[in-house]
Amino acid sequence: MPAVALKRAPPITFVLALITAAGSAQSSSLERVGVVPVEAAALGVSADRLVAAQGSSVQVVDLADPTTPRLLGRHDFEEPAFDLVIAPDGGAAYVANSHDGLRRLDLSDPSAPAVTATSPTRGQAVGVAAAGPHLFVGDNSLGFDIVGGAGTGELARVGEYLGDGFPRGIAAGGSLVFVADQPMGLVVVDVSDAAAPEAVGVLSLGRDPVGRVVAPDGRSLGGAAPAVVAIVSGRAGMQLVDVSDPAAPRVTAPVPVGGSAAGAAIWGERLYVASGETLEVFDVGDPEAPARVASAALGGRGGALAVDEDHVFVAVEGNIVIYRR
Amino acid sequence: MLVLFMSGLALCTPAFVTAQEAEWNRFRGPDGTGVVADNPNLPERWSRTENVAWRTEVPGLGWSSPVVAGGAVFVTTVVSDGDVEAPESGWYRNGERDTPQDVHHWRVLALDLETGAARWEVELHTGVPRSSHHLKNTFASETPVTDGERLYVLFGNVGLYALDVDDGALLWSRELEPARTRNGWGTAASPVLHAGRIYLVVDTDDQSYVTALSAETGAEVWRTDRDEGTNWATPFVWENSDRTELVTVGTDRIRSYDLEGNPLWELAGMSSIVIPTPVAAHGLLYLESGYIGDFFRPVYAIRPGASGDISLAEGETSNAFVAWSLEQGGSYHPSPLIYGDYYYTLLDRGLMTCHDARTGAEVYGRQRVDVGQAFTASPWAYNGRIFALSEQGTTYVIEAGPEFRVLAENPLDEFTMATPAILDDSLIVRTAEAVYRIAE
Repeated sequence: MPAVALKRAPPITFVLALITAAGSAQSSSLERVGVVPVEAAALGVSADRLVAAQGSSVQVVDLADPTTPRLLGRHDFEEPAFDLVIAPDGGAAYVANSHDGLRRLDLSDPSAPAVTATSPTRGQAVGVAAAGPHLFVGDNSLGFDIVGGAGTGELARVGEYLGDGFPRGIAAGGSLVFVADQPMGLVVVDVSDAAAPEAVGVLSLGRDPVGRVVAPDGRSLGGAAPAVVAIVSGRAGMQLVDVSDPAAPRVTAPVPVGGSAAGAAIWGERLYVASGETLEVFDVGDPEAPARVASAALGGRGGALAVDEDHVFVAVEGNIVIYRR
Repeated sequence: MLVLFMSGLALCTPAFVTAQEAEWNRFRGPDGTGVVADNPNLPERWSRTENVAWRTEVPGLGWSSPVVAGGAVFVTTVVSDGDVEAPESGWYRNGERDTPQDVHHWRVLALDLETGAARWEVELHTGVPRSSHHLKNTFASETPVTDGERLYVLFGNVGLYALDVDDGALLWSRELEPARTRNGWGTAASPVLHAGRIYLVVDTDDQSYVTALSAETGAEVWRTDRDEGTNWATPFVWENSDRTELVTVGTDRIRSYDLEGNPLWELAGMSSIVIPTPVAAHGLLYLESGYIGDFFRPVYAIRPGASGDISLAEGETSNAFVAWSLEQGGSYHPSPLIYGDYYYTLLDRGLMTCHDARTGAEVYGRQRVDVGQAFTASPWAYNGRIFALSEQGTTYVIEAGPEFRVLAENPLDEFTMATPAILDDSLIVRTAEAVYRIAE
């Protein structure tokens, strides 16, 4: 069963980004190469497809030539599309579609995206991550659902995790799911038994006040469990967390971002952050000492962010700006 | 006021129903606990087709609890001339809504307790709303209160009305100027009736105050301004061993006043949204709040006789007037239940905890009532059973005592957030669509 690769930057409160073993060039330069006039509160990219969610709409952009991105199609849901991940082949997007649950949006005809499967959630689907055959759907009324069928045309709930607070961000890797739980902090959940997920570690972020946290982001590659994740909360800022021992997550170092992180993603040893009106790149190869290695003025306030092998995509005030990295 | 309907039933109240034995006069009953004496005739099992004495559809929307007096069940509701979006269960973003532009009708219905037939229905206000509410709130969320002769109805941001319980005749009214509420979520704090006075807490983003009004005339007796923003918690008249005081729950402070509006004591340290209503038992006053997104979800048990600031110092869990406290024990919506020796908290996501009511010691930690059910209505108890009504309309029957056990599920399959009334051998349940009298 194919894994699902992915992902996104929902417009909410915590950032979760996974550092994995994904290999890539570790460039320290940023070159602005294209712009597409599409609003995005969440982004996903895979296989020359960029998928952007804004409000209740999802739009599909062709990236065959990133210097001239083309809008291919659009789907309008009845409910807000808060978050999404994309299948590795770009053939489907999995959308956290508020009270309508998790939706599989078939992109095989990108000019006419169509919902082909739904997994209802107990409450409001606000986030989604993927690892292996499973999708993990953050639900404000529950914690998260575990949905089987990633990479197939079918979706079915196979388990659920009852969390304590609101799942402001969710990411996954290996058999672990990382939940940015407001207010409990970073919660590490072992989902090796999907029918009986179990919290194995918690990193408290203290009494972070409601409404002061910034938009989360993350990237789940569906691969092995990460050794380090990045988290963002409003008061504590962006931090790297060692999760090599899932039972004892610990902050390794703060990330010296210049402003509030509105979107972030990690690729290899690079952490990309849209902070204020700046795109910043950090070398996080040494999680104890993250260092800024590049930056670029966005020309406006940055939001959702996604990364693929060669490019960084940043939502900037009604546009998606594309940088070669 | 327009009297819309008056049934002949209003003239033939069953003789066996007396005001004393039949009144469920306010939110959670005469003592505000939701606990009634054991009675083997009270229902423990029901469904849409089982043990339903009657079901009467109610137009519009309102999460006020039913109250009962003089053989009638009173419910408030607001009916829109336009389309109304149905609320969703659970907790979610994007629940804010613009102020409606359609004409609305603020109404009170009196249903005959025996038959469910309408005795009377009055329309107290008609017009386009001057304020908004959260999708899960309504324009009729304040529970009325009655002394058996008058029914006092508060519609937040609209007005306070005194009606004759027999025929719905308007006796007096006071208009309330519309005020901004946090995020436009609307109002919910119910009025309190005590010794001939109506007490209101009006906490909004524009102005906040507590006031006492004459129950007979509606005239203002006193008013004390408050340094608070929007709150939704109903105040509580605490008759304790030392005195009788009015306790108000706010995000910034819990404040107690004497019955002339003079501050007695205050306590800082609530969550950012306060909703549950205080409860008194075992000589203590219990207060809690627990917004799901807050780290701090406190429970406090207060001893009588306090004055000044009784806030806990950093690291303290008790002091001279805080008998015990929990940092993370409060629920978001349901008020706590003290039943026997135990303090039960029904958490909104379908978990229940139990503590020793006198000491705060944990009896059991989070036990799962069910998964996927959301709880807003406050629990109630009788016959050694705790009842928890989910938003989805299922009442879970839970064994009271130190061992947690779900004994039964009673589905109505109708959305609800209202706390039921208990009366004689019956349970009065309000859903989004109807009022049920449940009786075995």
